[in-house]
Amino acid sequence: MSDDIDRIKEELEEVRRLKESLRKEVEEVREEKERLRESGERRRHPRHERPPKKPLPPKKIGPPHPPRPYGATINLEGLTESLEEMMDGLGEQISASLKGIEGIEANLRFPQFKVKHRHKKSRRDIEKIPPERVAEVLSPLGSEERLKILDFLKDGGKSFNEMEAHTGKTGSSLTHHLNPLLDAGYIIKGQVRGTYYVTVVGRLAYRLAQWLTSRVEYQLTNGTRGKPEDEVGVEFDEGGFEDTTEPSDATSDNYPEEDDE
Amino acid sequence: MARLEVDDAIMATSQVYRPISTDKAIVELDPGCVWSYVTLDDRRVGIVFAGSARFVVDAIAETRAGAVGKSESGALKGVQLLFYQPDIEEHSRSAQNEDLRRAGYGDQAEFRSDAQSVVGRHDQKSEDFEPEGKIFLGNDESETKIVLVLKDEEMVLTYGKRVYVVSDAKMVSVGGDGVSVTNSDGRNLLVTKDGIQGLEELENLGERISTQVARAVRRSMKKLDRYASRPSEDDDFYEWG
Repeated sequence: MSDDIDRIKEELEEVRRLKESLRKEVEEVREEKERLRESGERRRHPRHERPPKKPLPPKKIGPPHPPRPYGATINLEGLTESLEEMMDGLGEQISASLKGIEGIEANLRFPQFKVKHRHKKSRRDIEKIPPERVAEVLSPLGSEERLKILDFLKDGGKSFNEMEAHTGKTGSSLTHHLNPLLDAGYIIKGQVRGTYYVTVVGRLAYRLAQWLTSRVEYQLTNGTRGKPEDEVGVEFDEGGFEDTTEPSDATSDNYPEEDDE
Repeated sequence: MARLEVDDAIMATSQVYRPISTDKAIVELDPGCVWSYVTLDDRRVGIVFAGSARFVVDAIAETRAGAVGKSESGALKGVQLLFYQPDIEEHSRSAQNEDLRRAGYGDQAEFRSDAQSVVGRHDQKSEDFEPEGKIFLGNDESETKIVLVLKDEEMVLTYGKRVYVVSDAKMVSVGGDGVSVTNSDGRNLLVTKDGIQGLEELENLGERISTQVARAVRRSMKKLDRYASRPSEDDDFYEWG
């Protein structure tokens, strides 16, 4: 524990040194700039040849001048790299520090539990899902009315009457569409006021249906770009699946890493 | 110990009456349900009733990711206790023998005795007992115990071995499959005998911190690089504190 603290202290000290060094470099650049400015002034206007001052003409306001190139450049590459290296190891240091704390059993005791994975299926597992199971999940979504209901309910619970007005379906016709969604667990009905709610699973299913629509439309529009058929669109990994096509309606979930460049 | 007492007057509902009727829960009594006030130091603190009645509770929380939970409902059987003073008297009359017989009692004394045995289990430590919100203690027809507490938008339901706590689009439920905690974003933590589900992200916490901090530093440095190499008349930029 104390070793970790010492290490962190050393690294903080290193950052301070780097900052100090940068400050000195900045100071040197400023002095160099000052010297260059002064020597340029002397060359252009020797003191004894300076003409008498004339009244200045009225200043014209024109377009801004392009920036003058300036010779001095501070190379921060070294600093950037060293900081990146330091930060890359930060997580491991935090983990190591926490492990160190665990040793002080007199004051701190961590609960013994194991993290259980869910929703993690390998590519092989996913590809083994038989058509009947896929149909079980997708068939409740296979109607425009049911999708409208899911979309309508995402804003909050609604009564039967509200859904009648929204979908244009009434009575048993609406019930005919509600039952498959209820059976699939995509919606639930509160018995107190007869309010229908979309469940977490229902919202997930609807969003994935939208995502599927987006992917398929993209592929239909843009083709496979020469990739073999089994490489198109979606790649599986041990942690689930990953979208590899270019997003046509990118959301925050599938944007590439933001870069200021 | 402050003793809860069943009042002498035995009444019966003259119409369908709901002593509890909120967006989340309803307790409904059919006409002919026999009931009496429950007193604590001669102060009315609730009612006790028996007869044809039912309950329905929406133990459902609407999170931003969708709804979680379920409805629980059933018919009530036996003596039910409600700590809350509804306006039930306005929908009642004196109990008749027919009412008592339908509720399973030969006469008023039998009902009072049965009711007192139930009420007596909840004697209070202090005479200052003032129930907050509505507290319903009952049994359904399969002898499953029900405890329902309603206060403002918050609700606690214990129904058999299941417990639901619903508040502000958040829910905690306890049942045979473990303890489930769901926040208003719909994120769910499930604690079971075999472990905890929903903490997968913590496994690579260190790596994630590294990535995020390194990314932030990289961006800052790129910005700094650009400023450092640009022509500038403003040296104040380099004035570090």
